[in-house]
Amino acid sequence: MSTMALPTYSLWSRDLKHFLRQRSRVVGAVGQPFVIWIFLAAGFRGSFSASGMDYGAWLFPGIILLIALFAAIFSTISIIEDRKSGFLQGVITSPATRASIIWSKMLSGTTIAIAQSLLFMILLPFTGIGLTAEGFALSFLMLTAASMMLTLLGFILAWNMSSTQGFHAIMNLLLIPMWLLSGAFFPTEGASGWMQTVMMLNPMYYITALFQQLFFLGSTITFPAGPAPWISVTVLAAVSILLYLYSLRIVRTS
Amino acid sequence: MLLVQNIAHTYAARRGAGTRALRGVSLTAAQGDVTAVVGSNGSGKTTLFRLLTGVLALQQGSITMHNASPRNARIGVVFQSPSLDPHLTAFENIRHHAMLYGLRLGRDDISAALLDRLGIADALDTRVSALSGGFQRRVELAKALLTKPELLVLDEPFTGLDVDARESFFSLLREVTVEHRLVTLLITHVLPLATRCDRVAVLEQGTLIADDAPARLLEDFGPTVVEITTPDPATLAAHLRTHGDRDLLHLREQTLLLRNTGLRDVASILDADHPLVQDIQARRPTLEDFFIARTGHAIARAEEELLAA
Repeated sequence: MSTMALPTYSLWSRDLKHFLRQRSRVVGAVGQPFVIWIFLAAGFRGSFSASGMDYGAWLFPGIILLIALFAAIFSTISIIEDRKSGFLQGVITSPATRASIIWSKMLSGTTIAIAQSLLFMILLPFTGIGLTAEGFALSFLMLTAASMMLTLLGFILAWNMSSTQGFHAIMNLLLIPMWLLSGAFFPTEGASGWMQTVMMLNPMYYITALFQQLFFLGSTITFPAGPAPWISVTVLAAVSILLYLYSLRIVRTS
Repeated sequence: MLLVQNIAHTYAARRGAGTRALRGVSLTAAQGDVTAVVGSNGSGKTTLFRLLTGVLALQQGSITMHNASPRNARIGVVFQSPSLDPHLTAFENIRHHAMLYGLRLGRDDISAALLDRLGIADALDTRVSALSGGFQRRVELAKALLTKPELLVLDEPFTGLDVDARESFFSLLREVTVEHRLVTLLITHVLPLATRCDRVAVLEQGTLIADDAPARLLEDFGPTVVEITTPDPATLAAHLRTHGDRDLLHLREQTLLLRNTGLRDVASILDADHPLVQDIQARRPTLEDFFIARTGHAIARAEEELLAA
């Protein structure tokens, strides 16, 4: 226990201290999605129609997922910095289990993602969305699980990278399409046939569909039906387990 | 006691045979002693360090600490490059590090005597990025010591330190080793400091070529040696040999070393005005003399070492 729980707590709390002590990171994390949401919502307001909803309201859960996606994955960039600064070698030579490195990153990435998403929720009253307590609880539970999965994805990529610039480049190449093709930015039903096929190969599509359904749960808004919830949960669980097992393998063998 | 027996390590290559970094190395290090491991670049020092700290898995041989696996012992590690988090204070670094070892440390749990000894008591609340290199090294040592290690392994800890900071850090290291009955293994290029360790192990191309107390390693050199700087070492060596069987060593490009002798003895056959003599001096033998005598080359110094010197 002392080689797992306490080291995990140590590394998790250290990551949070880093985040809170970098004011520009906090401001950027909250400001960027706010700006994106305002501009997209205002820009597409007159040309968007889905379930009779305002585009700003429709896009709102998608922006929360965007926040979680970027926050979770970019939190793992600290692995590259820790390796460069020499901090990681101190962790590796300690009795802490290698799994504690994965868990600490998974928890810190998820904590930061959820905290940023909750901050963004301040804008909820301006959307006209009547979020229910049940919808809030279930959607954020779902968001927590999704953030863990996304942090694992970032962890694997960061563990094998030697430069933060390279990580940024690869992440932008991967993240933007993952989000654009998740159904968060535009409804799946309106997309062309091949695009729908591509979207269905994207795990974010299943996460987004379930998150949107849960977010509007119990409200007067009826969200377009996506894949069955059990399919989304299965995809999320399966991808998470695979990513975790692969993470464990790379930290134990490198 | 640390007992390293017949360890070997080969780094795998993508194609062909791998690189053999260590070949059947055995050495011992006793409690309360500082044992220096010296060698030029590529001698296998870093591989030995990685095997001792568990970064690399053993391929051959065994490493035991007090007759058990070192994994069961507490190991304090000080790295060549700093392993501190510059965004945290010195105390936060120490506390987080202790937690990696399963220890919860509050301020009161840290011995004031140890902090005073390390000279960092007043720097605990300072962010590491604001501390000098010497202070950062002391915080590293505090981190390593506060987990109450039995084995302390330091990899080139003097890198980047000026001469005074080196001296101060080395003295501190000797004191804490004796006081805490540590087995301390110091991997270093700095031969003058290695000479002052209790024991010196010399690695060359993955093989241990010497392992003894420094005084014993230098026994063959006698109490004094004579170093002669000359533009033509070969001719001068031949000239000296015409006056008897001299214990000569070609030390560097333009330097000859005569072992087991003094200035008076050499002056009888070679005065300071001799055309081949640019400089002549008697001095005590050093570990560097021993190293050159055994390997045929000077110890390669890391760039930082040269800058610091």
